[in-house]
Amino acid sequence: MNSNNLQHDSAVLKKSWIKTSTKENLKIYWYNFRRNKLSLIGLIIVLICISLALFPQLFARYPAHVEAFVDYSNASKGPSSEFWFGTDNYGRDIYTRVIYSFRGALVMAIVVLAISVPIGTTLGLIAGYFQGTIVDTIIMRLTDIFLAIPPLILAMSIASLLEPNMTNTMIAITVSWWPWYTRLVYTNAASHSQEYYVKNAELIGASTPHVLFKEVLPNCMSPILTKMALDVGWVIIQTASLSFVGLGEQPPHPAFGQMISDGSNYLPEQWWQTIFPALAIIFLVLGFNFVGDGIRDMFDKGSQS
Amino acid sequence: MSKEKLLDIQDLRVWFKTYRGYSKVLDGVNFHVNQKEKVGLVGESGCGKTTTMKAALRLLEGTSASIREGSKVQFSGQDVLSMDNDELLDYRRNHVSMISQSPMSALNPVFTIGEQMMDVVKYSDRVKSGNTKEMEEVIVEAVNSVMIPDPARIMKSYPHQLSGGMRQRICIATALVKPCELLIADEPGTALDVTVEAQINDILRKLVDEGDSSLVMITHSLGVVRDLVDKIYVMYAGEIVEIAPTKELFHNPRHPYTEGLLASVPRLTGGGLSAGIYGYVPDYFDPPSGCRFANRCKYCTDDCLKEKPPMVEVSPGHFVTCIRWQ
Amino acid sequence: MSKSLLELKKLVMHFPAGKNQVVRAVDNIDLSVIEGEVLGLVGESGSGKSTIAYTVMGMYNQTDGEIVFDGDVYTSSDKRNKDFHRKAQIVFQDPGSSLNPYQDVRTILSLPLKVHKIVPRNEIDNKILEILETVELPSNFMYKSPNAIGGGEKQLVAIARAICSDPKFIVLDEPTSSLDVSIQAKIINMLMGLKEKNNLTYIFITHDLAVIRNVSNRVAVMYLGKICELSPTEEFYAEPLHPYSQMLLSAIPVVSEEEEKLKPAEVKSVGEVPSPVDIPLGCSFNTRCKYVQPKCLEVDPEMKEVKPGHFVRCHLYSDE
Repeated sequence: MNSNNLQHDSAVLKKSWIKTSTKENLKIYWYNFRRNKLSLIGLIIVLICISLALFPQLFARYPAHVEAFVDYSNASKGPSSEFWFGTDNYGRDIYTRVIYSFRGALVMAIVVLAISVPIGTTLGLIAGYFQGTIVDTIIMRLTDIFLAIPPLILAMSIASLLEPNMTNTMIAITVSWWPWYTRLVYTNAASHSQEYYVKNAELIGASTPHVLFKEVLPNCMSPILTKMALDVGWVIIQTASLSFVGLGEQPPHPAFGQMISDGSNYLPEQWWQTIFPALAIIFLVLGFNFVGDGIRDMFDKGSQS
Repeated sequence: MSKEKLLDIQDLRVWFKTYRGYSKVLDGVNFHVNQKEKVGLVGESGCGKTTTMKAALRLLEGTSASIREGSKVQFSGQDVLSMDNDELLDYRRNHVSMISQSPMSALNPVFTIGEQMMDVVKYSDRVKSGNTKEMEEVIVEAVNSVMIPDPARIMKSYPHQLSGGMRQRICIATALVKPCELLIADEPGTALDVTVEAQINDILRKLVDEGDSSLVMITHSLGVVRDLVDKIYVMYAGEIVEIAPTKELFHNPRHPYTEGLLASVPRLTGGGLSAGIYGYVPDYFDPPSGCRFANRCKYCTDDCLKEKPPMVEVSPGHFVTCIRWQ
Repeated sequence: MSKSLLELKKLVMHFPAGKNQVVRAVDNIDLSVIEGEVLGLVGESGSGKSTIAYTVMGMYNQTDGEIVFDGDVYTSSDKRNKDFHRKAQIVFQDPGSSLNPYQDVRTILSLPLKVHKIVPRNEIDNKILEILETVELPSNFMYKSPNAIGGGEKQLVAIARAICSDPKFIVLDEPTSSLDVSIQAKIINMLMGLKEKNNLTYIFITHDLAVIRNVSNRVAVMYLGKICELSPTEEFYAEPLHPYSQMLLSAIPVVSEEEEKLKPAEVKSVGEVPSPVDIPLGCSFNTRCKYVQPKCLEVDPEMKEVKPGHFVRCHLYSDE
């Protein structure tokens, strides 16, 4: 057998084969995803929210109202053609401020998840793979401790030690978020570690990191990704709750919770100050929830024939 | 012996909808069972045998399967596919029973055996009076007939407390507590050990011989049906390729697939194994227009690829779907 | 006398099962596998045949006893070294669960090549193509995912993976039980061909006595954790001695009259299979044996060499 021939074969054929198998997988995923109409609606909503976060200036009408701005002549006006969502008591356009709040919310979600998911997942993988040993006990008891701390209290403690701002709130939410992933991955990893292909990798002599990340982890990805999509909504609600009590994005820059908090003083007459930011949260969270359902369906190997 | 057709399937076509389009699994299946007849439906995995039976019981509704126009399924002369709800319920409760491959998933783990069997009796027409004591007697009789000792204790047990063989026997007993003209056994021995499977097959044979019902035995093992059934249907890639009385099939297989299948079975006489059957099952998404076995057949000619071969009667009761059967 | 590659000395493997109960999956087994042979290990579910396989491979640490592989001794507290993992491989029963669905064939096959540094990195692809050719799989399988290929082909990939590290010894745990008959023949012929070419030694585990008849040199029959009978193949089929062996042989479905004649007269099981946590005293087969005597209920028979190379564990033969 001519080894040069084989080299030529493998290089040339590689590209076309990789394309076919990846394309094949993507086709299956997309088919499963779009089977549920709600997932598609969710996807559209999410794309809208991302556009708003990336390019608020394209959609907002009065960008200046996001910073320190006062115009008492237009204060506390209801929805009109000039101010689509009305104004607050400083005369700032609520529509613009809502649009600009999307970025903060999504950034918060991304950063929190980007840090807490890898940490939580890795710990869960290790604990699950070594289930029954002391490693499992240490990690899971640590997880239990962190789960027991209410995020609100933690955030307020951090705020009182350091200043209340976006970064510190992010830290607080991240610290209270990773244990959920450890829990989730733990059960998955524990059961997948008993699969024959994992055992086979061990019997071939593969190293433990390889087994954890290349054999066990890919099988846990489905619930992780689904949870991440749903968590975007949860983190945003958590952020809103914290900014409702003054932790998080500080004025004059807008944030959903902060706007709801300010507006709540004027309920029910000036309903627009509270309702529109609240609707924005609902819109955002619903979108990610639908997408989360879609992601879960996407990986559902049961519906593939 | 009555020669009336009990279950008559004609030109059954079932397609499955998937991300790649339609998977045309069954393409014109003709199958019938007479009264008091034991029939074997033999084929390898994926050939569509379970699908055929499920279609006959209309168990495919709600899945991605669709029974195409032109398919006919009749039971005792009545059209099954157009039955309304009440007729369908009566059909399933009082005329047909199906024993599935996996006794583990056929029994509900949260109810006792007794409760589950009682449900079956209650909803059938077996004990018209509704008398509980009578129903219990029927159950005990059924459990005894499948050779399970101590029925009273078994009635109070949960499925997980029984072994696989016992669970499968309970499934058979459950099929017996209601009036049943046709018993469909879908690979009942697959999940079981060889000695237990032999026991189960004995029970099935005895029950059918002593009772009034017919039996359809679905399996991939030719050896199993050799001792059990009168007539064998061989299925390949969604089509019936050969029909013959049992002895005739083993002595004189006429379809190349049957021939290859028999040759592939490892023999107790030793002598090594054959090479199996070269090639792979056709793609159901784009099935060939000619004979579906053509790409694997050593007798294949150009005519075989052109159009589907007709079913030919080679000798009384022996049919082949092949143009090269001589 | 050929060298024995694997020796099991008084191997015991017990699993705890709830309060004070123990599953005696492998109960005091003495067995040796000669280099170059195919040893057929036959038994039904609960016999312990798979447990032996997993214990030998190191998936479990045995409760007691020694495993000697190619000169290295492993006791109940020893872990297998990397050399062992290179020389000994296993092929599992269900190819669907022995291949990681998230990896393509290339990734699956490159693992043993990388771990044991069989070839330098840049030649891995070529080596994979070579191995695919050896198991007669087309080269475009390299990037296929296990979901896209059929059961027989998946098993061929599993076999390919097993030979990647150029082993001496492979445990085949029911390699064809989940496959169709027409594919089974292909796989088994492939395995036998590989054995000849690479000078391999196999333990072939199965419940199918017809397959064993055609592949193995010796047969070991197991029941509830103990070996009932160990014999050269031809002799076993000509004259099975242990009542359980006779029961197994009489239960096999066959497809021809010649084979019917070879089967012992029908031996029906006259009782239930005992639960593995509650193995009866004396001979563990006494609940189903039709030759049962009072001695069988009290004393567990010893393994006795009734003819050269033919061992049976049964009171019918130990009184001579």
